[in-house]
Amino acid sequence: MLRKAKILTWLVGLTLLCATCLTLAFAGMMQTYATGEVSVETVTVTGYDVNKTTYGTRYSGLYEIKVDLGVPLGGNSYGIMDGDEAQRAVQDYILINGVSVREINSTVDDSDYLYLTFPGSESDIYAVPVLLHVPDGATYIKLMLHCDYISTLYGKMEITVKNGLSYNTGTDIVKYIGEDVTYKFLAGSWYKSDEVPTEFTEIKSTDGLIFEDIIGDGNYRFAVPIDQLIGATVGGFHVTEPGKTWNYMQNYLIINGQSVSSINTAVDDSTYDYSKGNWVLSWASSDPASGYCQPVFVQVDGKNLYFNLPKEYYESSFGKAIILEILPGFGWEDASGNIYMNSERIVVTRILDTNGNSAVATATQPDGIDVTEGYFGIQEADNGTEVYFDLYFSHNIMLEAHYTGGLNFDYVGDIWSKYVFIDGQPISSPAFAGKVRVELASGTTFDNMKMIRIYVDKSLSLTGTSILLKEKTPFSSGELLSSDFEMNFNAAAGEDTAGNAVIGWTNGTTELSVGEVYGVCVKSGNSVEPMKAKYAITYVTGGGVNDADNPEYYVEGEIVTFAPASGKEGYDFVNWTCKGEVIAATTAETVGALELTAVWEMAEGAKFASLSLNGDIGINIYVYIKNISEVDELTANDGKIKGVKTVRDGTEYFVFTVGVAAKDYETPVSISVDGYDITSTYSVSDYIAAFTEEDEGYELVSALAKYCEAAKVLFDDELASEAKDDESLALSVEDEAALGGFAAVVSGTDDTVSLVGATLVLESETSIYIYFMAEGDISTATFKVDDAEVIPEAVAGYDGYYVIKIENISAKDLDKEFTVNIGGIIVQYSALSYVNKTLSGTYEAAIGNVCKALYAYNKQANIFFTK
Amino acid sequence: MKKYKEPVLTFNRTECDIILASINPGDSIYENETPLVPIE
Repeated sequence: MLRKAKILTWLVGLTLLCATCLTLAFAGMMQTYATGEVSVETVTVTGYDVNKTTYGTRYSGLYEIKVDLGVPLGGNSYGIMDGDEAQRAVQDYILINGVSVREINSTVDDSDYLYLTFPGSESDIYAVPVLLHVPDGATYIKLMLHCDYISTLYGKMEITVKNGLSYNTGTDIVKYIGEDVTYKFLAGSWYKSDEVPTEFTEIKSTDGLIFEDIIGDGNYRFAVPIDQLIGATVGGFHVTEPGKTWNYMQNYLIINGQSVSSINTAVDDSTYDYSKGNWVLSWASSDPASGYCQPVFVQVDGKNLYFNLPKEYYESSFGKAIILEILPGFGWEDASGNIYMNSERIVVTRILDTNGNSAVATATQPDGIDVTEGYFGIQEADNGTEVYFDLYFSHNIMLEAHYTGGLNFDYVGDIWSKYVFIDGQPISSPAFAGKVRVELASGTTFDNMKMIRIYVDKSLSLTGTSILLKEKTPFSSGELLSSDFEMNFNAAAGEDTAGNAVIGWTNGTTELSVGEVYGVCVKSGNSVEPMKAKYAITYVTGGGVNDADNPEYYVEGEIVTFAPASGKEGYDFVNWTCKGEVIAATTAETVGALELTAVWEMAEGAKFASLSLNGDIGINIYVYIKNISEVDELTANDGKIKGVKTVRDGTEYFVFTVGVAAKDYETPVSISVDGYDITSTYSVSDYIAAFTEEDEGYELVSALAKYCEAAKVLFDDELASEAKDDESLALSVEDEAALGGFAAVVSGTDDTVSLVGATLVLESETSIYIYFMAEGDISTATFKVDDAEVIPEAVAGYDGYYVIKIENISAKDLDKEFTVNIGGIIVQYSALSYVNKTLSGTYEAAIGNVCKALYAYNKQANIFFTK
Repeated sequence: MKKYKEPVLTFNRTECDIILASINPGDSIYENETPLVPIE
């Protein structure tokens, strides 16, 4: 115990010690060498490999690590331990697991240890320093470590050579220059820490445990297969076996939360020595009354790591899980001295049934199966020599449950013989020998049911018999029967249709009448009414969500009312159908499995919207309303917007077209259908953004987008002031020439009126406003637009000013020329006349962009509508 | 947002007369209306 405490102290100490090292300066530096010139190798020296006559015991159990600098370190052979401070300082530059050798050695009194008196493994490792030694003529520094000390480092061995390492050869100073370099010892080789092959950094066992049966008189073994154990040798882990590196690995192996080391500490294992061959034999002399009186023996053999458990310890785990853990850092050694390690915690779980049988290979927590929740039918039949009972289960799991060794009836029978009791005796009992057997079958008498068949010889009377399934009956799914389940049979409870005796059965507490509720036993081929079967119900929700209350099964004769499905966005549930017929509930006559399909109808509301491509700017919002086929038109927004019925893809919609001023194309517009609780909001820009080059009208929409954006800028003083010419709108020479053809033409004279100018109003469509001044009464004058008389509006606040408005000009008509009579003056003018006039003079960028965009918009509209 | 032109009356002290509001190139009277340009 004391020894172990010291081990732990050391392990903790090594972990916590900082890798800070003193850096000593040496004078007379002459050479420098690159990092790559350092290499590390190991040599294990045992008492068997050296001439003890010559060297005594000092080498026995030593582990040597060579740190080769690739340069001669002098011609002397001596140990650093016994050198002066200049020599000893090398200890600061050699780190084991981040701790300098000087730091390690500071915990021991090394004053007594000269190279030639290094005690080796015969001494307590914690009283032995790490020895550094440079052999005569060598290019390497040799680390000599006690083998048992090495064993504490398995799986986490690192040697670091610090930048600045120098060694006084006695004649020169050789300095190793470069960054720190760390080597890891993995699988028998040293690797630079940044060059470690991935296969050595992680070993996981996912295959679970292999159970090996009892050997001799109570040797229970679990094997953890680990591929990397190729070539590993047999070895023991006895705590008290001295000089074996294996022993310390017990700290990394955990059984049910307790380390093997801890388990074995509580045992006097001094008499158990694997090498003496007394380990297996000793089981027979174990005394169960004294607890875990045998040590846990761990060995590596081939590819398996074996946990050999004392019989008493093993059997104490019956009916529950055995959890084995292999902690990071666990290492093992093969015959060649290669050391393997695992870097991650490996957990393997094995569940034993109450008789110690393997319930599962890798198991989940055994929540248990409540077989009473299943649906059972029992059928008794006579095959001539024996009567059998068929037990039908609705749990699919039950069929699979019995196989731990494959589909083998004998195996099943053997396992189940320990769990199936008839009249209080297991069917494996001598009383039933040759008269009762258990089989599995894929029973199809009832839908979705599986079958356990219990054969009972006719010579046995089962009148008043009970069949008991014991708690923890194992199933290969990993579940165990949560509690005893008993079925009682009562003979002569009735007669079947052929007059044979019928026995009912109960769930162990309530006796049932013939034919009531669940089932009866009848002669094979006969029937008893009602035989209530249990049928599956499946639901096809078509994108919706089924109601949680809708059952997965129904029992024949039961009335099950189906709750509606829900959750399908944009649709309302109508009903369930089964084979094309509406079904709201089962009836007493319903039989067979049911597949219910949800029927949905479109819910009322705004379903989608489109961009108006009629030459205006606006959105068409499609609204679906049920059962108003007689109505052709609706209104929205208190009658301001009309919705006209349209058929699209076979469905009637009301289309509400909402015009938007060009500058407002990014502003969401809303409609609220009058008389209905239906509202919807869309913006033009959303739909512009949704157009792709493949969409018809893409060029028109693109031109529209530029026009709208230019209008938005124009009518925002701040944006307009910062606007710059949009080069993408630049007009070609041909465009400019074409625009010139739209110059306004004015003819005629009239002394009573004078032209002021024209503007465009950029709404959903475009208007031309022509301003003029007139003196006095204009009621006698004639005003026309394309020969239709119009009445000019007086401009409020501007005495003598009037405006003639030409409104609702669509995109393709922006180039349409209107003839406007203003008294005796005739003006031929189009929207492009305004564009031409503006661009002909000096203009600000904002209005220039609008004019160019409007021109492009008109061009694309002409192309689109000509198509 | 755009500020549309409101008619303004001014008083000419020299002439002792009221000058009526006028509409000139660059003016926008109504909402969403572009600046006024001469017709020719």
